[in-house]
Amino acid sequence: MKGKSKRSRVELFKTLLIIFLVLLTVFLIGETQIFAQFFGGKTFSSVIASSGSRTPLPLWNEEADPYSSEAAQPLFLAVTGSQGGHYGVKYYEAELDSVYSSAATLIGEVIGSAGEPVQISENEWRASLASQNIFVDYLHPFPLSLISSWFGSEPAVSSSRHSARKLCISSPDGSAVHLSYIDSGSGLFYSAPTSVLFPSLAHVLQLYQPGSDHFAFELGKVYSGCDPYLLILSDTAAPAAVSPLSLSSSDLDRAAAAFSVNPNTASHFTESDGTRVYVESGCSLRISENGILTYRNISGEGRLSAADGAMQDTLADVVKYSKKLVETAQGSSGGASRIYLTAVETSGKTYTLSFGVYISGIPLLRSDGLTSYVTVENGIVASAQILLHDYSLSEQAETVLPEMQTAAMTSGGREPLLCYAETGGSVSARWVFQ
Amino acid sequence: MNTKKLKTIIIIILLLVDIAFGALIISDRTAERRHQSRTLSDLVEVMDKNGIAFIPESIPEVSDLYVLKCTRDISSEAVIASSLIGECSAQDLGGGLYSYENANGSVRFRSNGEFEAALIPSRDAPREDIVSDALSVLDRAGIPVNQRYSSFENGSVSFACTADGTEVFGCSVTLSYSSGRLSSVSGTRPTGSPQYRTADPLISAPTALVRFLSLMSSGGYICTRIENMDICYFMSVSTSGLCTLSPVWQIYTDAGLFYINAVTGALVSV
Repeated sequence: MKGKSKRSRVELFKTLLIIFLVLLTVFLIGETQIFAQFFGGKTFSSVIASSGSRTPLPLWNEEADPYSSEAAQPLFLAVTGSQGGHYGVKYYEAELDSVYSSAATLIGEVIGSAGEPVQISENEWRASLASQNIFVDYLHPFPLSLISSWFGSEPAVSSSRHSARKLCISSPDGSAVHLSYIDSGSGLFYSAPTSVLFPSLAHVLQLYQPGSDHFAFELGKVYSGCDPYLLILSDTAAPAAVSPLSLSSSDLDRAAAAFSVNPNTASHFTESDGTRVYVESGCSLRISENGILTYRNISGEGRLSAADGAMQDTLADVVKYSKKLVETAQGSSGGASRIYLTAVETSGKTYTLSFGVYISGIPLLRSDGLTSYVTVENGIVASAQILLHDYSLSEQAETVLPEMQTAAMTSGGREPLLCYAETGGSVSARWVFQ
Repeated sequence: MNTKKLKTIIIIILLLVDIAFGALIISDRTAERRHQSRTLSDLVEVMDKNGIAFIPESIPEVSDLYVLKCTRDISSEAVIASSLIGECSAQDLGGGLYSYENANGSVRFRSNGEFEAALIPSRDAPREDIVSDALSVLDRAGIPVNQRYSSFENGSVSFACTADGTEVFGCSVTLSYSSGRLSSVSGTRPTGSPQYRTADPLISAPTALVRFLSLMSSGGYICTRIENMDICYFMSVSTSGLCTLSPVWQIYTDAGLFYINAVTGALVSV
């Protein structure tokens, strides 16, 4: 009996040993590179360790990103601290981005929390520009409600009627923060109190040393010929030379794909000048060899519509959708250009949005006057024209007159604007007066 | 063949298989260590040629980090506010500003993760151990922080915030005590818990260091010694409120601290 019991204990031990050895084998296999090959280079123990310490998260879908950035950014910015002296930035993308990134949250808070605006005198507007402030110039006027939507909020009902290009976030008394602006429709000056506390403004102001830049009205008679609220830099960097990038066949295919036309399967014909023409489901798409895309929705039931859930019919949604459409069509060929909204025309439920090309913070103007635009009717893209070219910056700098001299030569209340002018395939920097 | 013999044979086979796998693993690990050591010596040599002494004795391995995305979590702000001042309700001031206020004080949140609480000191007994009290306040508020304080002076103690257990550069919370009683809490925290991640692979530490070298020469920086390197998150909040936590390599040098984006390899300006 004793021997039988001993034997059964040995058998039990053997069984347990086998189980242990099987488990050990599984673990050891998991620790080898054979296992790691199937689990992204991770061994069994590291997979277990990482699954315990980190929350598994779903993958971010860039395409479905509902948090797209603003359709336009300020082209001119000036920061004025308690010691006075404007620190201005223009025509220099890296510096514009740097100043804007430090002030963007504040700009959003100020516009979004602004209360009822009251009309102010021009002298009060000038006093705002002279006090501790951040001056923001979008170059083109936009509805305040639209600007506010880029920051995820809505302004007060009254100010949402206004459009502005030039805004001033100021605190004349060093306590309350106000939003002042010139309403582009009436040309009148307005100011509104905000919920922003002065330390938030002071935090941005203290990042910058007092500068030596001026507004034209501060410089006396010599500059009386130009827009009094033109920000004039005492020293401007020479713009880099720019050249257009040539378009490849894949660039044109990508542009067609942005309009839901598959260039490999869609039937098309080519006109004598090389323009590809696609006609599909009541829509026509023409892409010329010189990079001009023209889309027409003849049927009124387009493929690019609110029906796909991508676009609602508020101005903010239409702008977001249209900018993405233009950017997708233009694509990124490694060029230096950015696309910003430049104009909004609204007529009932019809919106026409124009987009401009900016290279290193400087607008590009074509000699033929063409610009990209998208027209949206009742939530459907009715027509579009997109200029597909991208541009590259070179190491060489262009020579242009300093802004101080150019502004002194300006007359009739106009504004000198440094731009890249594209004529016959070549691009050069020059001043234009608008 | 009876069961007893079969078990014995299985045990012998399994033992042999385990020994074989054990040998394979030891060989893999040895090769890996040799590879790391060769990488380190190559790196030291490259740095040396560029006049930079590489002090760390080992190169940190790429952690299991991703670019994380999150949206603003207003409910987490309400938890922070109520844990600091008691029962209160949110007031939407517009522009992403939220304020909470009652007789115990006020708390204000901004869309970029900054917040500030001004508290009316309680009549409770003054805290003797400020650090442990501060940690319990942050725990109640649901703000994940590194348990070791980053600074402690004049009655104020600061902690670095963490996301998924990794420190977030530029995000810290400071608790100030007046006569042993909590009087203010301020700082910047990620605007919400991570909700999404990207699939972007991270660049390894040696790649980041080589990138650092090239940025040093192109940017005209001068440094003669790399003292340490580590990985952390860098927070950026878009104007529309999307918070992105990007892994960055922190490179401690005698010329200061540099940050290299661990996905793009770009120098992060702070």
